[in-house]
Amino acid sequence: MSSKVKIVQGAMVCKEIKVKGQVSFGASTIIHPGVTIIAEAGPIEIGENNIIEEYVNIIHKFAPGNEHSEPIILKIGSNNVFEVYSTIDGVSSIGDNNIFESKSYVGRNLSIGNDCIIGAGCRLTSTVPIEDGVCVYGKNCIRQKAFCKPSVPAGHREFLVKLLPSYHLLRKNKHTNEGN
Amino acid sequence: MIMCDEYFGNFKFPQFILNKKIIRNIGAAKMASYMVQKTVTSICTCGLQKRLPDLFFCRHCLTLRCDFCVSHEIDTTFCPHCFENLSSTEAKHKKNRCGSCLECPRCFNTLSTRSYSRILEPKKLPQKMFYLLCLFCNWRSHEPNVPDQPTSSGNWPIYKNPNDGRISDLINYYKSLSLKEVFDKQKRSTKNYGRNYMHFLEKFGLNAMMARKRAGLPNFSMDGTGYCTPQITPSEATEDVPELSEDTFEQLVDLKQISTLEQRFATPEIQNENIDDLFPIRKHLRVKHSLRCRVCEHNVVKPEYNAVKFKIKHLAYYHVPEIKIIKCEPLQAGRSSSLILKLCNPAQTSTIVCFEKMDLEAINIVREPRRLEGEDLVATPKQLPEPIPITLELQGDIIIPEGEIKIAARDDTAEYDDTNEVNTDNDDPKYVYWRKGNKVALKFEVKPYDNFEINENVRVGFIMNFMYLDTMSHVINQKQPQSVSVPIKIVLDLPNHN
Repeated sequence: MSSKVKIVQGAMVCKEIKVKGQVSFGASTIIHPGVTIIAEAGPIEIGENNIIEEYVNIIHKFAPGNEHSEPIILKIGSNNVFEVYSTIDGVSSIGDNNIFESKSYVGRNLSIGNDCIIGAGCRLTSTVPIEDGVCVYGKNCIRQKAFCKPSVPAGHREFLVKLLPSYHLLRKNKHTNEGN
Repeated sequence: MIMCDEYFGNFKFPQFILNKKIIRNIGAAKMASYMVQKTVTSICTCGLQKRLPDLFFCRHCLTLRCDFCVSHEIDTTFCPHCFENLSSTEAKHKKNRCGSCLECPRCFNTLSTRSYSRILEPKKLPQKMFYLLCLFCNWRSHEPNVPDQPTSSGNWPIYKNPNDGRISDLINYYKSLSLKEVFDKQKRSTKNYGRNYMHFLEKFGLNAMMARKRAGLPNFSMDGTGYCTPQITPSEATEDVPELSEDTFEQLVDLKQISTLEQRFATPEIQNENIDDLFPIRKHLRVKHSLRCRVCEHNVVKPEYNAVKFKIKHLAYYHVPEIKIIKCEPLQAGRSSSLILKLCNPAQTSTIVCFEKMDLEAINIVREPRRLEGEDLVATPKQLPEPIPITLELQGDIIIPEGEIKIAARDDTAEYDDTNEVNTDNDDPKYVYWRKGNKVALKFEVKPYDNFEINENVRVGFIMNFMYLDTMSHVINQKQPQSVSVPIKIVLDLPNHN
């Protein structure tokens, strides 16, 4: 299993994560321990200022039957929050400022715009793209207009920057050492 | 200008520590489906088939009761969010809604208040403003419907029905009509009394009328003839209906912008179609209700005022041994397979169980609630609901353990005691599988009928008699607690999927 992980200066990636394939983390992105990122169908580019919490799965695999297609880059924008146990399985693209609440599931070939909130436990398996500023909530995954932009509490990021390194080992950027 | 969002109230925990949304969304559903398995059901005295946790046990009649055969009484009304107790008249005045708690119009969870600082005029200190936010679906109160408020308690606007005046007019009108009807009835009934009106003196305030007459004041009519009903303007049908715009049928529908039926029905008087026009809903009040046995009129369940506790709580779950299926061999038509049931005694006293076969022909006969021996209580049953005839179709025979089986009392400390030995000497190993504390596993045998189909549930029934120690002192001639055998009809619905 080869994994080429590129961590930009300022990103904080815990050591206890599973990474497969080529993944790059943008500046100020915080990755909690227990995260799984699989980039089999092409590289994953994670933007800046994202928070990826415990046990999040970001899976970028080919659809069954199309194992030998062209690799596609999965781009995840900036300022996204992936809450505990949320799963991203084969999404085509993710914009900026989105929140994926706990245990949400986003299925294959779905593209997500900007400023969206995917509610807790929502399971999205359709391919109808989620437009900008949409809030998905409830057990029936009702999509309705969001009236406020999703936001993370102001102190949350600073709190994590202080707390995480004191209890977890951080992943160093091997990329430069290997001289790729 | 919005400067920054600031959390109002308590500090927000990091998301991985607690997430109530998950518990509400997923946990509750799973727990509910686990609990709502109708595999073991008991037949209530009224004939309904219920699960044990849904049943009550009247300690006076010594029978099972369910929510159908008890009378429900309203004790208090309270708000489920702020726990404010309201008297029934106050609740009625407020239309059974809380005055301070609001609900999200989109997902019906409780709204919370958030604050931010806003600079209204330059060179002045920023002002703190409050808005409402739903933490579940992220609905936010917004202009122009719900303006942000400068106080946290917020005098959030109460939405008034545009036809409020008309509705109250109509209500007043019909009230006066019904009053007139009452007057007319009284007028008709007075005719039969002939000329002697003396007995009406007090009833209709005729003394006052006489006093008025003596004083030379004009008489006021008591027969309702002079009673005037308020005038209402009849509603008019109009022909001028606003025309639909030309692109009504061609315009693309934006489902994100349209409210769902559920959202519309939450405010039946408005029913806004546009999601932007939704109003926060005042929280519905809840009721604490007490249940009363309809036969002996004793309370079965009574909540405590002002506390989340019960004064009286006679659930069947606390008295009747609970039955659970722990093992069932694959069922085959005409052949008996073993079934192991676990019985758990929830009472603080030990009990004895013995089983009987269920006689389908006599199942509807033993209906009358049992009475204690020597009891002189012959209360005429009041407003008893019609008994429901039990129709039960069984798909198999059940071979039940013979003799009496003793089950120890529940002991909360037994869990921590490793050395607790249970006397199993008297047990017949033919029937008793194992025994532990207040639990005993019993061997049964099920023999489905020859004509039963595979993949169909096999229903079998039996009667369980358990010893109930009656400690009620109300019974005449009863000095000491008496043991009474209480029969309970049990129906097992055994799933059979190969």
